[in-house]
Amino acid sequence: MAELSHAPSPGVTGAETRLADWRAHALDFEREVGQVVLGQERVIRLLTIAVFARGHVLLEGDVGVGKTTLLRAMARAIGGAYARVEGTIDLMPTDLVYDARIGDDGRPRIDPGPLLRRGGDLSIFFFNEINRARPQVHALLLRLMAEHSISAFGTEHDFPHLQVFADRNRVEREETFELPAAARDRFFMEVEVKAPEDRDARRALVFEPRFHDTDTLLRAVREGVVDHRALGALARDIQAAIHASPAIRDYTLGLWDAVRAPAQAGIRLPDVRMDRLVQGGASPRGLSFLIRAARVRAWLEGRDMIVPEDLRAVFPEVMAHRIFFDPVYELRRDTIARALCQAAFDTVPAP
Amino acid sequence: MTALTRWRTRRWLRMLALVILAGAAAVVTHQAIRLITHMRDNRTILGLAAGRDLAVADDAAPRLLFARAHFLMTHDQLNDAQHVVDVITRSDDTAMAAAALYDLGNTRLARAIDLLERMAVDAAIPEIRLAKENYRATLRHAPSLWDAKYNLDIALRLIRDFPEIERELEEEPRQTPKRLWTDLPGLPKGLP
Amino acid sequence: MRCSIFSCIASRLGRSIAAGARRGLPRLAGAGIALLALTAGPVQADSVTLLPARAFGYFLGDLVRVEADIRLDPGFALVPAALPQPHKVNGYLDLIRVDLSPGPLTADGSSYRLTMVYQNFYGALEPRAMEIPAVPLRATNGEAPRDLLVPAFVFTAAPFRELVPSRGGNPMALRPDILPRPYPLRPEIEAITVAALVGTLALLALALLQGWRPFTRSQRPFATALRALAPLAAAPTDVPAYRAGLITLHRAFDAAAGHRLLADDVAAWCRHDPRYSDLSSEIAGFFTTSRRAFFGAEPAAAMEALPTADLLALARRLAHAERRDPRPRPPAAALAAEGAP
Repeated sequence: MAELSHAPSPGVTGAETRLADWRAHALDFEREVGQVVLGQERVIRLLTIAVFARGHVLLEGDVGVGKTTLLRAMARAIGGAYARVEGTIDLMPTDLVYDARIGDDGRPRIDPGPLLRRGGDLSIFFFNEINRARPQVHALLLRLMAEHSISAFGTEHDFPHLQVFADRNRVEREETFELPAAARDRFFMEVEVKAPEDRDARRALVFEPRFHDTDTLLRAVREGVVDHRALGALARDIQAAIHASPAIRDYTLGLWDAVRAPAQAGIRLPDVRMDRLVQGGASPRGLSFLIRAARVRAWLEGRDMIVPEDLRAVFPEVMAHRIFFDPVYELRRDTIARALCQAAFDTVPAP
Repeated sequence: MTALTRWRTRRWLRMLALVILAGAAAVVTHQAIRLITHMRDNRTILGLAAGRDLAVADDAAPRLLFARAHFLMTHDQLNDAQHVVDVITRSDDTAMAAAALYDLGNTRLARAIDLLERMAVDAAIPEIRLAKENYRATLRHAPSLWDAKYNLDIALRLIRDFPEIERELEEEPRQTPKRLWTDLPGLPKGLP
Repeated sequence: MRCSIFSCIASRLGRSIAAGARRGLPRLAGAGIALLALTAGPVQADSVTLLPARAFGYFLGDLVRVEADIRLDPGFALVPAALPQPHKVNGYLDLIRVDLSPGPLTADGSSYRLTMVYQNFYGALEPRAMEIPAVPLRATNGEAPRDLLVPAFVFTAAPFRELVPSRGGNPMALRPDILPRPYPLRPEIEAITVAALVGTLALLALALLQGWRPFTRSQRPFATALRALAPLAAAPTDVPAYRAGLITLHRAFDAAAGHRLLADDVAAWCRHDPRYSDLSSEIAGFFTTSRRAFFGAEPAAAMEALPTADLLALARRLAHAERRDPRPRPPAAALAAEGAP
């Protein structure tokens, strides 16, 4: 907390000092999460960006790579309440809001469900296996994500500090409901979580006992490293403080053009007909998300300006899922999307 | 690893190219000097052949000396020619030495035959002996030079110089109907 | 194995003398015993055998080759001084060459191959047998010399010319002179052509390897950029021109790296391409400056940090560096440093 009481140096405005202090907290936050989730530095960095950009994240990844642990660690470090729902085929929207059960007295009772139980203090809502839930559930979730509020018990319930993390199971395709494009566009990022590549991290995860009991492990994370109630204002400050020069605006537009019309930009990918690869997408909302994420990354790097590296660091996660391919190429989506993003950065000149 | 290997290959190829280049440059230089020298010598050789009296130093190339010797032989300066031929025979160039000695023998033998036709027998004999020596020397340098064998045979029949063998020869049956010029100085009788 | 006559005989002689000395005493005793026992001494098995050779059809000036195998008793060696020397044997025969090569040294004694080349100067009028006289040799074991004889060799000399020309013609007609001829220039011209061709190819290969203009296969982005930047020297304070110059150099970096090079990639790229590792701090400085100029939108401040003259100097150093071919670092050092987002 020494950073907080640090006296502002002369000539530096209060907002700048506050941003600098917050940056130290953000890095602390990253460190706290990083000590219990090994080998996921890139994912942690991306989720940190999402936290400070106030964006919802769709996680993808295999079972058991530590997504839940990661989210619980983040929730603990952020402070505030954490709620979690498992997506199933018979899950109804009301199940998120209400808890209908038979009470101790044998009479049916309606209590607040997972969303309402913690009230407006809810800071992280984790929706597991979102593609197993029905589209009605998706619709509710999308409203929650867009408006930070739901109607229940006849009133509006606001969740000003809420951040939604959803997880998509990619292994099973049966009895699943793929998220519609509009839904995916609302997610700030789609982050893929893989098993760590680093051998030491993998060895530690498998053999060190402290990683075997998640509850004990999470207790090692310091609670409330950042204040979840202040995040909204901070995010606005960050967006206002980090400036984008004309050069970076041109560069961003160049990237946008490159992924929307790769053939014209001169991008060639092996075994792909470039003129019909991209069918649509890369929405303006996506671009604004990209700049938001880039600003947060620039702030985390201690800069007051966006540079191309910021865009490159967040581009695949923010943009790739917003680009829609010809159905022929959808099956190879992961490979082609990665290659297309790479090619865009290899093609568009910076500055 | 591959980058290192490629770099090593490049360095090796570079050195190879340099060595080849240096070798080629050396060959070109050496051959060009030879060519220029030969072209200069060829002018002298052709000049001598055209009958111009061009001087040639004793340390010149054997081919040049041979041209000079031939010029002297064809211009009746046999003593000078003999000197030049001696210089040539001291060189390593056996082909030139053989040619020079052969030409010298030819000159002498032709002169002897000329003298014999003019009945100057006494003057002819030493010339024939010298010619025979020249031919023998020629054959020592070039045992398979048929022209030298042939001309030596002519000279030997002009003067047979092995009386002891000739005597043995007398004992053998004579198959030859006529024997001409076999026992020089035995000339056809009845002439002066 | 062939050594000079003298050295090989001398070595044989040395060996036999040494052997004789070693056996000196027993020999003397042995002689006494031999006398007593009335047995003869060791049987002399020395032999000189002529090898079969053509003995007919020799013309005037032809070479006659006489080869003899010589076998000597153990301990004996030929006396070099007694070998024939090239000389005029008689009026019609010259010994022109003598070669002695040692055969295998066996328990039975030593052996030699003696080659004598004669030249026949007998101008035969009709075929006639000629004799090469026997050649005496001498061998010794250090005590008692022994005389050997290479047997005489008889060959038939033959004429190659009619006694009297049967179809007329002048029997005194000499064969013509050998005329002096100029040097044939063709070998030198051919050698020069071939060497020049090889040299040109080697030069071309070297030019390709060294990347000399205009044979360079890879383009030289920094050299091109340096030329494009040249006008900048005339206007060192022109901000738009300076911006354009930065972009020019950026494009050169992109071309050199093969992809768009951003500031964060510089360290990894310098490690990867050893040509530029010496310049990594300058390159990083350039990227920092460029950031300020373009993304910080402070081109004037950037110009102060990296004046035009320094920019040109950096371009010059890069253009120089790209022509070098330093030893690549081991792959461990070239680990791709993937920056966290």
